[in-house]
Amino acid sequence: MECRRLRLLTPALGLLTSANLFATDFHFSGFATAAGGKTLDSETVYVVDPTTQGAYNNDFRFEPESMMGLQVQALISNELRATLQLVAKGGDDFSAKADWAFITYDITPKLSVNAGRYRLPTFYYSESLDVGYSYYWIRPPVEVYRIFTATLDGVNLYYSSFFGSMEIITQAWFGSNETDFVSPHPITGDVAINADTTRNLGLNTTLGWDWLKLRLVYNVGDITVTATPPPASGAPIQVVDSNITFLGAALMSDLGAFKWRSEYTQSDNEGDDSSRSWYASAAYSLGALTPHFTHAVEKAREPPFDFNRTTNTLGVAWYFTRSAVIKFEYAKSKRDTAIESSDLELVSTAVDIVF
Amino acid sequence: MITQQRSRNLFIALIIVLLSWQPNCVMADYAVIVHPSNHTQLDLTDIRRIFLLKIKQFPDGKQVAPIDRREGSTIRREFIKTVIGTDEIKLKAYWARLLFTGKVILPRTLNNDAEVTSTVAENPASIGYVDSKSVTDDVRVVETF
Repeated sequence: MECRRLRLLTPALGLLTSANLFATDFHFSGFATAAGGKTLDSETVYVVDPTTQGAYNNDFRFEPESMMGLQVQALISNELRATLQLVAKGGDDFSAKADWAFITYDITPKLSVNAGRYRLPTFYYSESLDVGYSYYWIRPPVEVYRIFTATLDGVNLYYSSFFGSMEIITQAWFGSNETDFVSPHPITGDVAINADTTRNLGLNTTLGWDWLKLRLVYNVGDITVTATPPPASGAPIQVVDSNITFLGAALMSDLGAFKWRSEYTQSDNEGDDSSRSWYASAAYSLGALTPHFTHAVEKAREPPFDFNRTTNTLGVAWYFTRSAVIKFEYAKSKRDTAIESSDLELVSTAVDIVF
Repeated sequence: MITQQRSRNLFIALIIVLLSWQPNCVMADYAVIVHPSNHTQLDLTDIRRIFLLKIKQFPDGKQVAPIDRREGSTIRREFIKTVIGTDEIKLKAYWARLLFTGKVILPRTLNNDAEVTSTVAENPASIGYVDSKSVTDDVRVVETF
């Protein structure tokens, strides 16, 4: 995170006018996660990254959550800058994709407008989901963080200010996004999924006090999902074509060494599908060690695929140097449908660094 | 008897003096400095918000450019603990969240007091912190810690 700076001066122009106007500052930074894990039973698969469908199975795997990101910020003027972040994820065969590619213009010191590609700020950690160093888990609970549309192409407004001792941050966004990924299916084999989100509109507000944060989010968009099974199995099927509404709330607290993290979200589409998810998590910092416990619940009503899932995660994050953290987690998950119930255990470890 | 009593009182008094005596340098080892032309009133909350990158201007509306110190240095650890009220790791996780979501440009890092003092003396937007002994007439002290 110690940004390297490179000052490129256009010499001829520099002579003609103030150097600042034609000088561009470039700031380079990056992050990386090396992660591995396995389920403790031969039958089970646990999807940990909804955007890449990265999943752990009974063999120790490194791909699902390992990744590297590089960011460059170009300061064009005091008010104008450009940001590009390329992220190569193991779940995506380490092919680099731009998760962030946008221009920022500060309308006032408190209000900026961004245009381009940005991560959808749906949940509390959605924007920094790739940066493991920014939270104590290996991954925030997948019961809540399960949306496969992670980025949006469009515009957004970011407002940040104080009213007395209360901090207020508000984001409003509009855009669209089309994404392709492959979903493993036990019967038909890999299914190619195309998810097209259009007219996506949302708003979030975070109110912060010294030790407490409250966040609310509303997001609505039209989504079309098309599934293409392997050639032998049939033609593409449009599985979803509807308007989806997300509502969410988060309550976060940092009281000395004690940390509390909790979020609730519900999604509803015009059809019959709906889901309710929440988690509550507590952590306590003991020097460089942060042990934590999380209880997460997902109730999906997607007839005929209704299911309930509950996951308990016990873990520890060890900040062994200032720039790196190593994490260990054990998760036990129970999934119930109308006809069957299944248990799953996952052990995973990760090293997160920022530079 | 009286002599004994007096010497005991003296001894107790000496202990009290010793316990309450704190060398001056412990009270104000370091100073937060700005450009001499910057007359804005800053309290600890303002300084904390500036270094948490939550505000981009001084209370009087002028642009602010905080200066960071080398990670792991005594002065930085002390500043983060005393003024910001957190530690280097928590600050780093917090900055990472802002940096990798493109919200902020991180402050530039300078290596020593002389670099900070001369940068602050040159740039009216800057704010930094140095050892109190390194403060010169070219900068204005807004806070000590």
